Amino acid sequence: MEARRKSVSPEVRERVELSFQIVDRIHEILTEKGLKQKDLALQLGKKEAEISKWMRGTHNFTIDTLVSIEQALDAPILEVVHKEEEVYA
Amino acid sequence: MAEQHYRIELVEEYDKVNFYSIHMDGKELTELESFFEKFPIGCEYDEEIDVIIAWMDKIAETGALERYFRPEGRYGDGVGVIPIDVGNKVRLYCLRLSDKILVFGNGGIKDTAKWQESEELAPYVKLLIDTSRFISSRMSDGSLVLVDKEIIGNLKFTRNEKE
Repeated sequence: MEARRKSVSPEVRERVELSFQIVDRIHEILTEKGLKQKDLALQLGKKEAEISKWMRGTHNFTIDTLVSIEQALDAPILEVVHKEEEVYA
Repeated sequence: MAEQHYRIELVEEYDKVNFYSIHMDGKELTELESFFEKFPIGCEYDEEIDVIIAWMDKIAETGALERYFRPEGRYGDGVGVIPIDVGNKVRLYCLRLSDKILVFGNGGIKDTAKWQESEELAPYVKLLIDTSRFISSRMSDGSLVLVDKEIIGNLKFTRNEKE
């Protein structure tokens, strides 16, 4: 088990890590707004089972899906890191 | 009818959750170890196994919150499958007793539409469903209790398995 654990690809670990961050953020927004997964499903025109499937920490979200969730919940999920603006004298 | 004797034993301990597994009498490996033995490094399901381990390691950090699990047994029995969103072929089953206690069973390759139809997978799910029932019964009579991350009490079980 330990040997198998050490061989896990860093890309897979990073993907699962990011997926957990995304679903935890979605859960946080839902909680803040007093909404349930079924409310999000209704807004997106999806079945609740599909939203539950997304929320388990291994879903590979597309940009389209993330944008539709952000719009449905009216809250940001992912932010892009920008290079710090250079200050000119 | 063959009688199966087994116990539940602690396999990994973390701050927020303990991982237990089923250990059949007479077998060297726990069911969780036995599952990973089927998928050695370099096998065709490497990516799926990587996702399962990465998911388990995240659960070790966050706790076994219900929303991370995919229910698989009967409603309310706590039996679930580790969710993986690649390939959709490999199944590892578990029993979620609380946010802090997870009991892993065995699993394998999904070869039928439903687990009930799979000769390989159905026994693993049924074992967890029965174990869930045994645990509930022992909790009702007080011979087993869940205290934080620990299962305390009689962890030895006997079950009649249909041949």
